[in-house]
Amino acid sequence: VLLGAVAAAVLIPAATGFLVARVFFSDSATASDRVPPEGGTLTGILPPGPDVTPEPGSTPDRSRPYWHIPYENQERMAPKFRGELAGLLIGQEPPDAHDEARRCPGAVIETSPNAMRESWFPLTLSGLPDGVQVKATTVATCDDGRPLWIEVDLEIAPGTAGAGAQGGTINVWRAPGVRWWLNEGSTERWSEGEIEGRPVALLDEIVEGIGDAAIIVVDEETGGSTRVWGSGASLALLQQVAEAMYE
Amino acid sequence: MKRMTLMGVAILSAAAGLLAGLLTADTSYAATHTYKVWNWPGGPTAQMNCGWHQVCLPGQYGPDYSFIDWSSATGSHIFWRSTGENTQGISVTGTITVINASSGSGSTTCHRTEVELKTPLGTSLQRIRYSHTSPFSAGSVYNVPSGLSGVSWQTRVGTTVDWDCGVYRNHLHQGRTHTNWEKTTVFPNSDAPDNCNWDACRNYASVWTHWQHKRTWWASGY
Repeated sequence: VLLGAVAAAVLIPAATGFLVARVFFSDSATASDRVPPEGGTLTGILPPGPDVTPEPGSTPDRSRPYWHIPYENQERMAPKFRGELAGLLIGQEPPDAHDEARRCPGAVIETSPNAMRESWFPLTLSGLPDGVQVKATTVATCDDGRPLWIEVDLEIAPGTAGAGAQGGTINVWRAPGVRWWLNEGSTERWSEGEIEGRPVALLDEIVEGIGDAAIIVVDEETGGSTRVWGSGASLALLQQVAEAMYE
Repeated sequence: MKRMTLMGVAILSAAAGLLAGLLTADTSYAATHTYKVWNWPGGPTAQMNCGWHQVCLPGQYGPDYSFIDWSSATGSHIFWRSTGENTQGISVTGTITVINASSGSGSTTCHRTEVELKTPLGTSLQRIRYSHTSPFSAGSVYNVPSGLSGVSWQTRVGTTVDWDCGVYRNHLHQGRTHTNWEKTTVFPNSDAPDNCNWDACRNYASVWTHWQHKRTWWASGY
């Protein structure tokens, strides 16, 4: 009898505890979610269609999957900016953009840091914000000696202030004689400003964390411009990068 | 006294059972699911060409050289090709957006298509870049198919451009924009990982499964 009582005292509570733990702390209830899609049947929450736009006056609910799609749809359907900002032509090319005089039959492309330092108007890369580092540089020079462009790819580390949670990228492109950009940003995203005493055109994100941002700086030295174009980067972070490059 | 002892044993046993249950419970719902997207070569032809940009030579690959070149003809279609896999069992694990990332101007325009991967919550997972490629249907957003086991999919994202930047003849130059795309490239018959020498890499068929970028993220479910 004693042996039976001891066994019952051990086994029954132990089994009960085990079962309670398994039932309340297991996700077996969601096992059906794990059935793989069959015959093209879609499972889970699906993105809204291309015509869905945000409710007027609503604010983004970032906890909902695919919350960003309506905002991207709205941007795609919105009127695009076509005109001049800060002396730069946005959304269209000047009449002479494709003139014979602008062409270059062949060019030399250099990717070494030295080539950047010794280029015709080098980008200053020493004072970049924390978390932003150089990934690649390119210097293009026409065979007849004309400078074509210089370019720097920057990488933003995850967790950097003003960047997306997963980091981001920035492309900096500088060219002489080029003061236009065939960008398709909507009118309300564009504005004018000034950085280090230079006029600039500013493109903001669609909403925070969604869509590219950019700053185009007018370069009096070359009759051209420098474009700082970020993905997963706020306009404020791009401004810090642009300021560093002109210090 | 015996009753007290039995009660004590029962309480201890219950606690032990509870602990054992907790330790063996499948608690993944409260933890994280894993989501993966592999990106594959987007070129149209069966031959890869190295050496266009001096980054495809033995000894010249570094941690940031993730690009590879695929020969193609003018006007060739360029594809986003991916395989999606997730432990949640959902069939769409985010979106891609086709972006016109061209630079330059006029006849020296450098055509560039970038494809940005986003989680369902809109977090950018960065991009795959297709250089010397004019975007096809820029601004388009596509669902990324996925499943418990890998689901492969492709969609056209661009068209190759000859004399790109006024310099480059036909080819696709494909790679990541950010190092959080994991590069897992091991070429067959090459002298070291990432060394894409001419003989090892010119055969598209042999490198198809050896050149890839993988993006992995974790979430508690969508």
